[in-house]
Amino acid sequence: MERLPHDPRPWPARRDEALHDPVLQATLRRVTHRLNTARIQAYQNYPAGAEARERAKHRKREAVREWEPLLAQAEQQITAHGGQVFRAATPGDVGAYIKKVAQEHGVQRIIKSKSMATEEVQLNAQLEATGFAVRETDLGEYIIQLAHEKPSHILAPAAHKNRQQIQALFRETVADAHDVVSDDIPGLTQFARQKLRQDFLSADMGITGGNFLVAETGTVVVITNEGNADMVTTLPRILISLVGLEKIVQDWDALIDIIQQPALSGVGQRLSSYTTMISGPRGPESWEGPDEWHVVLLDNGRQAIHDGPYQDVLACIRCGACLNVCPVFQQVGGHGYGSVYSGPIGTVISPLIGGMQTFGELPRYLCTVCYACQEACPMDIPLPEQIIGLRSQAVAEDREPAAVRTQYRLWGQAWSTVHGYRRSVQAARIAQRLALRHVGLAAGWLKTRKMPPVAARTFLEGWAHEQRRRRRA
Amino acid sequence: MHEPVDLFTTQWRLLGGEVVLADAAVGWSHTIEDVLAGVIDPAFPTVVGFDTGDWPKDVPWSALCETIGARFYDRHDLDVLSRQEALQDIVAHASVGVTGAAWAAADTGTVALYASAQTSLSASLLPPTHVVLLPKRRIYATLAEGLRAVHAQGAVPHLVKLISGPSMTADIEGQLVVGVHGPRRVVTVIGDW
Repeated sequence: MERLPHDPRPWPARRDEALHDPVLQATLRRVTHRLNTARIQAYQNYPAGAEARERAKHRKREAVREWEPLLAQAEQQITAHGGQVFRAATPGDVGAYIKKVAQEHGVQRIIKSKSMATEEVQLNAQLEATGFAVRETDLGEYIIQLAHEKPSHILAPAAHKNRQQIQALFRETVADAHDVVSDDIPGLTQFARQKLRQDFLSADMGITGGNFLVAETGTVVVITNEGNADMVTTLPRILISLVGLEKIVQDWDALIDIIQQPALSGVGQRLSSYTTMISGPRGPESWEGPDEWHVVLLDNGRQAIHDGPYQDVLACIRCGACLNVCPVFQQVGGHGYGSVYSGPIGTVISPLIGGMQTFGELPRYLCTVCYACQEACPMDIPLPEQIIGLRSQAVAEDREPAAVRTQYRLWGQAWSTVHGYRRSVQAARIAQRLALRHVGLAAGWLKTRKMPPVAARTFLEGWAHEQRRRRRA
Repeated sequence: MHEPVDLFTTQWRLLGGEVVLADAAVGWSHTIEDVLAGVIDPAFPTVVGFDTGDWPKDVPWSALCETIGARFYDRHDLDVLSRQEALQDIVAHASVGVTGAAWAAADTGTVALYASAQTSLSASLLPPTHVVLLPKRRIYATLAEGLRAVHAQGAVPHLVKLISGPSMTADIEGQLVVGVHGPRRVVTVIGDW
């Protein structure tokens, strides 16, 4: 089984599909703009949040650096509170373990809250292949599960669909004959609420991800805005939390500093609507919570990242801020990346987890090195530098065809001198007059882009002309 | 002037929650009756409530709910049923769930609930309206102070839930909608009982 699922279509096909989808373009623009503005304002109006970020950043790096003793401590704490811990090396290990637990308990119906880690290991597909019914309960994830698609944004998985498409989808997939499916957004949300309510109440097993794992107390923290993770952690008798190794934080104080950062950076709120903290299964006197709690710690390449030059990327809290500011993401959305992890963070971790062979094209082509992600990242991960590092590696491992390399080399030589650059402007002007838009290097480039015309006289040419005129005068 | 109360009220309202400041002179029962009358859905005339020991004393819950045409269930009433029955047959069909709060935080507009023998998290989650009875003294100025209190007692409760406003989503076209899975309305009644 592959370490990270990927869309087998080549990048140009994914790119052009995104650029020619007007719904996606409009939604992406609106969603990314709204989230960006909210993030900036949230920190401006809340200095305590900005101060906590500074502390959180350092402590999170420390926790990642020395994670082995912390993970052992978390494991010991969880076990002491009656939970069970399993370390999964691969996606297959995760699936096998959860299937085993489900079979032992006669589980039939499973409900899930949103988790990128479960997308990474294709947990739904693994469980469904064995005959378990799995229901995603985050509204966005529910929509894309019904549509058999992948999330297009870490925080807003269905950001690429509009209300008409969702209305049609609900009608085709889950609506009964007597159901009226509204075409407005609150109506669609209510429809999903009613449908999912039945799933919540009848489920035997719940699966969550985890935003943080506190070593000192063995607490898994799950953050949502919808309240679905609260349903998942409160109602079913068996609970599984799939947590990446990098989610570890040292202690309760470290949690206090970092707990608000996903909401502040992701959606511009001081705290998401619901934060659930699980430290053990329910005791005999308690009314709610699971009878059994299993924490699955996911490696899947993380230990290798930890031991290599890109360790800092493990400080990521999956807030999505880097996606929202990225000019490439704003154009092609999550599906353009062909990985469940998109945007600048996906450009770094997809090849690190899934391999350069499959995901090398991300650092190669999907970054303009504008550094916007570096500025937005609450954990100050040097994403652009990491992308450049991976780009060099990708190019060294798998070089472009000789003809393309020759063209780039000549281009580089031409533009490395002033005269070469000026001559290229003159050449471009001639090419433009001859309408040579569809040959050479620029042909593919111009299929989905507008090339501004070369000026009849550039500024520098005009300046030189003016100088000559004044000298004559 | 009690600053955390004011800041909590501002933040909680900003998030889409409602605040009722209860006055001892009016009587806690009167205020609670008014609040319940305003949120009860006649189609689902059920109120579930779980007193964690921090509710105002001497509120005649059953009689009070009867006057607004509703039936009141507390922990004692539900204990005779299986957990599954209680959840599916009663809590899931109630229009109002009433809880206390372990604490609240003013700067984030947050209410904290712990799962315990007395507290039901489902009453704060399944019904469309959640009413929180919050003693003034339980409001901290910051979330950090509240969270420190969770750990100060030594062991962390097995399930802690922080609620900051109603359940919401922006998953369809980025438009904010309130009441996805959890309650649409969250009403905090603050008083000095």
